[in-house]
Amino acid sequence: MTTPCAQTDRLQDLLDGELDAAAAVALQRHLDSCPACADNWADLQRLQRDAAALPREIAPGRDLWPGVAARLSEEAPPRRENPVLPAAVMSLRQPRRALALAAVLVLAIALPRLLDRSHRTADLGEVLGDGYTLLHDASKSAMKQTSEDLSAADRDELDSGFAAIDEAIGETRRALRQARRDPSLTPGLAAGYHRKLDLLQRLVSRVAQS
Amino acid sequence: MKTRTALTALLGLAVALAATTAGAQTRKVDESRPADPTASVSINNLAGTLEIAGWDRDEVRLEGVLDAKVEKLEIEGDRQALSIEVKYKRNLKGPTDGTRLTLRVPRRCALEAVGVSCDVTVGELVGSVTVSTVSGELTLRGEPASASLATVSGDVDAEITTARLEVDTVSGDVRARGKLDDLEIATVSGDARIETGALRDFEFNAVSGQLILTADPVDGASWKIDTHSGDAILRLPAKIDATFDISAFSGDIQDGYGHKAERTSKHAPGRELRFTEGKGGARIGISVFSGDVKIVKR
Repeated sequence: MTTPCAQTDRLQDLLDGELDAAAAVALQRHLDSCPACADNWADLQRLQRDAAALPREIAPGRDLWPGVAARLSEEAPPRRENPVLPAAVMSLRQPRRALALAAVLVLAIALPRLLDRSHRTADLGEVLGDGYTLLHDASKSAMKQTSEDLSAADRDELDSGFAAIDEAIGETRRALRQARRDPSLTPGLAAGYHRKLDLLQRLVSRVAQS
Repeated sequence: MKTRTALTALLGLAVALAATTAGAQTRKVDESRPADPTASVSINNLAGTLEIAGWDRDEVRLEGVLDAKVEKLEIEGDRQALSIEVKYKRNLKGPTDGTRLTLRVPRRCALEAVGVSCDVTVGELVGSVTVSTVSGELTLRGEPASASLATVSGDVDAEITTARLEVDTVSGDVRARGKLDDLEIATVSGDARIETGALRDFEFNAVSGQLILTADPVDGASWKIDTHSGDAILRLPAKIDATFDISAFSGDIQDGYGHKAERTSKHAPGRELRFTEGKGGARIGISVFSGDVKIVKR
């Protein structure tokens, strides 16, 4: 294991071109003599290359929608012999719930790709934002499908829940941007971000099943 | 005198009318069906109350009253899988909470209950239990093999012995006691108060919900606690074998075992605390954003 170096904090600035010429040259020289910084520098460069190679947009599920929704809207089979997913089966008997569930399934398909992508990129805040936008839109769609059966108070409660998750995700994204100065925070914040998305997904899934 | 007589007559008429109206508001139900001991039984009721209890008969029995706005009671399936649905009229207006039902099911059955504003109480079952409501309160007792409970705003109260309990709420509070081996809670703003003994697997995911956990991590336990702005308070035994990995972005970390959290960087507000007590056989991971972490030695 290499010894931590105080200069490590400045590597992201070097990568972003935020150092003046003299400081940049000095730090480049330092890399030749510091194994810890050299390792970190190689990691940062690799992340930047990976991020640059990623597509700007992911359209997961868009082409899957008709198929998934059509299958879910089909008449449910007779009551199960093996109650593996009882709530989900019950929801399939109602087309609106089925559509909502379809949204959740699309999220389930899309999310791993987004999360995988987020692990490989330098600008986590931006990429995670893409993931959130997708999840947020699908969640709203699912909610629209299901909320007709709910009372105004229940709808308000759900809206508050979504707003709270929204706010938490926004705060985490801002923190991820700040964390560029402290890369050690990034994994924890990214994990926290994923957990919020997971919570959002669970929330939608539960609403669809209820 | 005439006036008094007229008033009395009017009052009598009003009482008679009220009694007639009250009679029309609900209707009795008493239905039984044969069921296998390990049958799947599901019940769906929008509002009112639903009490479910296990018994030692190979039979499902539904008793109680149905709200006047109930269109029909639908019971489908056979002795292996039975589905009960209380169907309400369309375009409901006004209160619909007149339904009061008691359901008796084989003790080992796999139960699923779904409601909206229906309060649901479940007890005396040893099979799997799945219950979800929107604003209804959920109460669970007994020794179910596993339980999955979900509400939006309803509170959850479970005093049980189970291998696995899973709870999802939006704003509903969670209270869980008893012997819980594997516990998973996801909530947006609900507070969770957990009191149990040996706990192997534990996951807590919340935004602003607070966690107060009193438990003993067993050897090999895995606890993952994540809150955004909610506090995480853990009341743990004085002697413990556990490895802790705690991080907070802007929240505070206090440890009753005497360790001090450190800043992750001079440029950022993060704090972290990693330490091992005893043999370190359990792994306890806690991550908060702006909430505080407090580890209390009991």
